Amino acid sequence: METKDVIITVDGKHLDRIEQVADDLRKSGFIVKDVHKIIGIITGKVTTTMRPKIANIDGIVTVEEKQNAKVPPPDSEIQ
Amino acid sequence: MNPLIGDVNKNVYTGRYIVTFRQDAIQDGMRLLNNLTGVKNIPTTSDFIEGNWNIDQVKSAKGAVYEKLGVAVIEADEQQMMQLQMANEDEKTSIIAYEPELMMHAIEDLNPIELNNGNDANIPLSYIKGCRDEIDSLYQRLVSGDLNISTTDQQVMEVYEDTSMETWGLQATNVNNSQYSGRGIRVAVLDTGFDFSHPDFRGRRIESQSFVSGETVQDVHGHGTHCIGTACGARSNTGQRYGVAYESEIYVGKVLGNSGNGDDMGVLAGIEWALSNNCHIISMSLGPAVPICTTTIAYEQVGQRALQQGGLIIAAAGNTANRGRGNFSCVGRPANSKSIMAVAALNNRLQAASFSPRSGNNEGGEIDIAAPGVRIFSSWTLPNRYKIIDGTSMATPHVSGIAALFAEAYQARGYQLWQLLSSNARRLSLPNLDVGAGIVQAP
Repeated sequence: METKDVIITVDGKHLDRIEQVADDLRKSGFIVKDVHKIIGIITGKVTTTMRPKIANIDGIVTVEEKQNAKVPPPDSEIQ
Repeated sequence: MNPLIGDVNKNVYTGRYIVTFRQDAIQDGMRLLNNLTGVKNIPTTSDFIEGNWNIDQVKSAKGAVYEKLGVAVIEADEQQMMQLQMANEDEKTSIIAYEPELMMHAIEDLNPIELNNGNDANIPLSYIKGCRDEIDSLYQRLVSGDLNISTTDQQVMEVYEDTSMETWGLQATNVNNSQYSGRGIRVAVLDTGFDFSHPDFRGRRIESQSFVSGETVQDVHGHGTHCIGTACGARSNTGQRYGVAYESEIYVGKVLGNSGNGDDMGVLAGIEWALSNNCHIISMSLGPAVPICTTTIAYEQVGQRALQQGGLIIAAAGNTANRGRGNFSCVGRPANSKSIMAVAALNNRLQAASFSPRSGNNEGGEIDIAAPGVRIFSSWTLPNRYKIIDGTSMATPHVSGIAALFAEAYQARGYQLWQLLSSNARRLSLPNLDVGAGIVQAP
């Protein structure tokens, strides 16, 4: 089944309970990669079918797809 | 004419005076005021419960002391103010300034368009305002060089060049005249890592962490070493200074692999790591290769949470424009979050670099500030040791290093630091869409 890397923003009220939010996500089939307590972000993988379900978990502001970041090759004049 | 003792124009001045105290001498200053002017029993802001100002009491007491601001507003006549001025000239202590209080008005259009009676064509005002805006815009583009039309009225062009003493970027940002070095300030650079064998950084305190699986922090690409050189470096082997905050503590977060590629997962992990290490400034010269103008809720929240914790995230606007072809692109993510400072690149004539994007229409998609980003000399991985390159990636560490100088100079953090960078930036004769507050200036 197709999975996507996503970034989950946790709301301010749930910052001190972010581990609980992560547990709730795991129970819904979400594969947690990192739980960032300070910035209130949980990253991980989710299947396309499960995605609408996790968006409704208490404490979650939004689920956004991961983007890549990059810099040009070393020999490029514009970096 | 001294406005303190001149005619008080009732349409301009209120008749009261604003007295600014030295921050650590408010009590002394108030005593001086009492003794000389006879103005007594002035309520201070601490007399009132927060948000519960009693303006009648302030008026009947003929003034108020704003303790947190170190300012008092008092009602006094010119005679009293003159005595105060003379007394303070002797002591030169507790009072920094006294100025007449001004009347305040809602700001209106200072150049209203007045239609004369000859408006037979019945042209709507909105149309005429639109025309005016277009002419203003044309004028701006002419002045900024976006339109290649020669004018005899152009300002004398400023040009900076690298010298044996320092790079042009440090001159244009006044870093070379700053007494600050970023001492005690933690600067995190999230990039391709750092070349730990670089001789220019011997003896520096460097903390590091890799967020790229299977790769150490050691920089193989060069980009990270270049950015760290500008933000936190010092001098080259020939003695030329190229780095800004040369006594700052360097935090290297490797979030881009040796190929130059990475993703949000690594970037977010790097920000979390930097904040958990109490970094004051987080410099990110990265973004997607193609312009992604849409903002993300995640980065907006992250930027806000960083600011609340005393961390300022500064990010490159991207190199996606091609101004020569009329393509101004947009500020890319993550710089296009309101809570993240977006940096544009300038060349050594203080013109927007051809690749430097313009503010977009989306909220947060604004250029906030500009810095040198064309032909920037800085450290590179060995054996090259140094390299001259272009990019908003190179402009960003100028701002980050200068943020460290402000953090040291004013003990400012988070939002305060942002404010200091913006308010001290030097305004340029360019659209703010391109350069935000102007070119960053060191304290």
